[in-house]
Amino acid sequence: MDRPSSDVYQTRGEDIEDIVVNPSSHPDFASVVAAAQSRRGFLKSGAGAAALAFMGIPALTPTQARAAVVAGAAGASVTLSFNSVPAVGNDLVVVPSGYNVNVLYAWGDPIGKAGLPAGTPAWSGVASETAAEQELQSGAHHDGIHFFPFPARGGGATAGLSNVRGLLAMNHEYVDQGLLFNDGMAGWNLAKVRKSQAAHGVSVVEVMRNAMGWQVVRPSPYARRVTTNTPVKFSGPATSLTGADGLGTLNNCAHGYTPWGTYLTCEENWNGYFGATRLNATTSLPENDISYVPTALDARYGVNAGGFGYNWHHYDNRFDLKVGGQAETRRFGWVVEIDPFNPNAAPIKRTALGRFKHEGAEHTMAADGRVVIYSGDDQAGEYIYKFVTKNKFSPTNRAANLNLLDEGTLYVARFDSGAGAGDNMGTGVWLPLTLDNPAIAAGFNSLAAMLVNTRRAADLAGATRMDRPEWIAANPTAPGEIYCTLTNNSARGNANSNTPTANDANPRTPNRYGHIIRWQEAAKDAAALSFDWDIFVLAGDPALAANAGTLQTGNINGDFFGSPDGLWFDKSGRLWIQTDISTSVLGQGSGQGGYINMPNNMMLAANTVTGQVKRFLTGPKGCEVTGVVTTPDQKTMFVNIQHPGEGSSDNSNPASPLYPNQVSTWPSGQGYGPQGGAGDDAIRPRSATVVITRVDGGVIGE
Amino acid sequence: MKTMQTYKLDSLAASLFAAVLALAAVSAAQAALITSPNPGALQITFDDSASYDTSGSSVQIGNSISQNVLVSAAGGTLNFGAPIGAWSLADNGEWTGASFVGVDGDFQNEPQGIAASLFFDLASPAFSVGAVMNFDPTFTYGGGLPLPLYIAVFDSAGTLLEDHFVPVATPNAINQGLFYGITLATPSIARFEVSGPFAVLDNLSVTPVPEPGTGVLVLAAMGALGAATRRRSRA
Repeated sequence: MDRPSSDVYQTRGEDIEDIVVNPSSHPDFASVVAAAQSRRGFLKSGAGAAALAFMGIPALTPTQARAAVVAGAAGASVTLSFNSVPAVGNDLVVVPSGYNVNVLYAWGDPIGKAGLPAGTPAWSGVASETAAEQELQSGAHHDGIHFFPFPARGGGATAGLSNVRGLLAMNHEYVDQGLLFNDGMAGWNLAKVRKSQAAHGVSVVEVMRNAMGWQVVRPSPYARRVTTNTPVKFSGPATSLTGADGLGTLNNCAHGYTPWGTYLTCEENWNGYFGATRLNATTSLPENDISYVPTALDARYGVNAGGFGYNWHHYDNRFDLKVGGQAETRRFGWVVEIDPFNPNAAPIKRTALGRFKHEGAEHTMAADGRVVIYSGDDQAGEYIYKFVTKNKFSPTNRAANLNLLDEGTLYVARFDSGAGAGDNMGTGVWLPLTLDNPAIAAGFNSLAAMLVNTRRAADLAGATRMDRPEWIAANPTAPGEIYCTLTNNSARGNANSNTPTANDANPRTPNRYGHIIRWQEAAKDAAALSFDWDIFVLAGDPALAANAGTLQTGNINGDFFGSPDGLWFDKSGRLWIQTDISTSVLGQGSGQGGYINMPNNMMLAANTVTGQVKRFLTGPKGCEVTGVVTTPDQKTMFVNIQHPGEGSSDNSNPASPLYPNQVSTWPSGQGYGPQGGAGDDAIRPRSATVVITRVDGGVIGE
Repeated sequence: MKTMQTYKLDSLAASLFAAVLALAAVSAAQAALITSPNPGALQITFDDSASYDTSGSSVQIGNSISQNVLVSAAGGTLNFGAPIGAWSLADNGEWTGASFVGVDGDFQNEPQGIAASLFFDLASPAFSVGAVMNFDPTFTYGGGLPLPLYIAVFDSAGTLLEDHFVPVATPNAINQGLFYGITLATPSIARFEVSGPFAVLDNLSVTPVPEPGTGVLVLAAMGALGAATRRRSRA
């Protein structure tokens, strides 16, 4: 994951998570604590002997390993009766036979703002839009997505939630600044910064299905963009340090939603947008002040003088650490609540949920009706958190729920090896991040200060450093059973990294392909303070000869994959897995841990009881597949395709002769938007939402 | 109204795309959501609601000059003005006085479709109809998704021509609402529906004649920027 920092066109919104910034010197508890608790949960159902056999992963067939791991899983056993898609390298979204796929909403499409003529401002085709136009169009780099159905019209059997109409809320994680402007970052200035900021954030668009299929409704009074410059509010315990008001959100990766119908957008690699600026002595143009030393707080979050190369700080003081940036960094790294049904309501940053690189915010309900939100901190060697509200969800009073996320307790997870080390299962503890915890009180004197530096608090509490926690999914058919993708950690086992050793929960050194861990909360209550865990699946490529006999083979019962990232349960209990294999390794490498057999990213579906995994979709070239949701009847699925056409250096180079479509012309190649050949500069790769339906109208994946 | 097509085309197989695009260009539905009244629209203010004959199932609220309009309700009870004190809209404040129309009922926090409806039947079909409206936004599905306000227009055969879900948020305001309406290319609107929990409506605006030209777009754009439209001040 090398990034040549001298290339000015380089901006990286993701995968930078590979760089470990956790300097914590506390021992990785799971690697030294052989907690003597007896096994419960997954093992309790009497599979002890089989479980012990799991100790030697490489020697077991995937089927044998699976039988051990899932022995106690309690969720629904779902059908996956579609035909697996091969791991192909087409420049198309490929779905199983019997399924249709159509592009719905691509970067640059108008959102359909009410009051504007329908269809305006239209996509220019060549990225010549101004910042003001970009604010009225779809942002770039689609990510997490949720569907909020409208009421169904009519009575009787059709009453309830609509399967043909609703609001899509989705994240626009970051931008490729080589692609965002038709001359890339040439002549970088404030106008370009503003457009870059306008392409970040969130879309809310109204969608409906008519005789022509699914459409974006234009105009719609709900159509809305939230960008880096949208006024926002702060609430909860840390407002004394953030202020009550601020501007915008950015690097919105995964997401969540609440039982009261609001959208949660999560700020991930916000650190990359800050930098320190000075004027070049010769040209008088702004440049990075490499002599700048970040504060300890900023350093713990990876803030540095240059950022990721977005260079907003060169022209926008808000992101210049030497001007306003030090106060401004505290205003990012939060979970942001947006009411999609009230387009005039300011987004609210909920500080009680802590400040880190929130990948997502998955909710479930505790046994007593309190709301529990799980969130991973997406960086190698960081932690898994959960937040439990103080008050209960009210099923009769939406207004009473709207500030539920302002009070509660934040916890961080410690994964212990349990009764036996090396068997990839064990017990765990939720460590409270409160001033009542002596370990926390030793480092902080206020809840506000602790929340702003949640990573430090988790260090002090003694949490387990994980292999890049990504999306978290709660099994709707098994209360208290939670899954989390740990996408990869090529530094695990590197003596110079802060994850120098393996532990039961992160067993591979290095972890090239990632894995999915799951836990069962004690008494199946999401508010519990302890849990049992096991590894649901170690991703890998058993077909790669160099992996034979090594842990990189993985133990997948079914179709191979690597770098799991997106993770979502449908209502039936089908687990959808989306991959984010870095374009720097995608389709490359035949040595141990190589990705030569995976030319494109993909989406798979899993049965959590049997462990069966089937590949459902492959994306176009150079893309990441991320974000998935269905209508309530599960007969329409929305999936986001992010950064099609990204090259192995992760961003477009405007100086390249084949720019901008040297890797991909999607979605043009799938029949959407301007049409043209690969040599046509007008055909830009664009992130987009696709709609998947079954030809026979059935449930997706069933 | 000189609008583009209402809905952007979904993508289709590449072989079909060009043909469909060409088709859409000639058959663009010239209909649109509007957020301010069209110039020249006739307005019914409900100021004379005390004189309405409410003995039947529908009530005539217009006259031969301002357009004959019959209003009726479904799923709830038709009211003109607040029965006692003020018409509570919960988080959206309240409406006072007698010069508006509303529908109340026994709404519940459970999947019940769309709650109650107001129907406005026009004696002669119109190009455009809209009104200042509000509702009680606190009703939900099981405490979750809110039940929104809904507007729709139908032709004389009862066929749905266009509809929209519309947000209205006027926190703790008195006598405020937002204007929403629908404009079509031809005078084919025979019925206007407004549905939602405790929906209230004022300043019903009807455009029974062809619109004047381009000023409409400008006004619509100006009116769309989200400010709550204040209802007529009341004595």
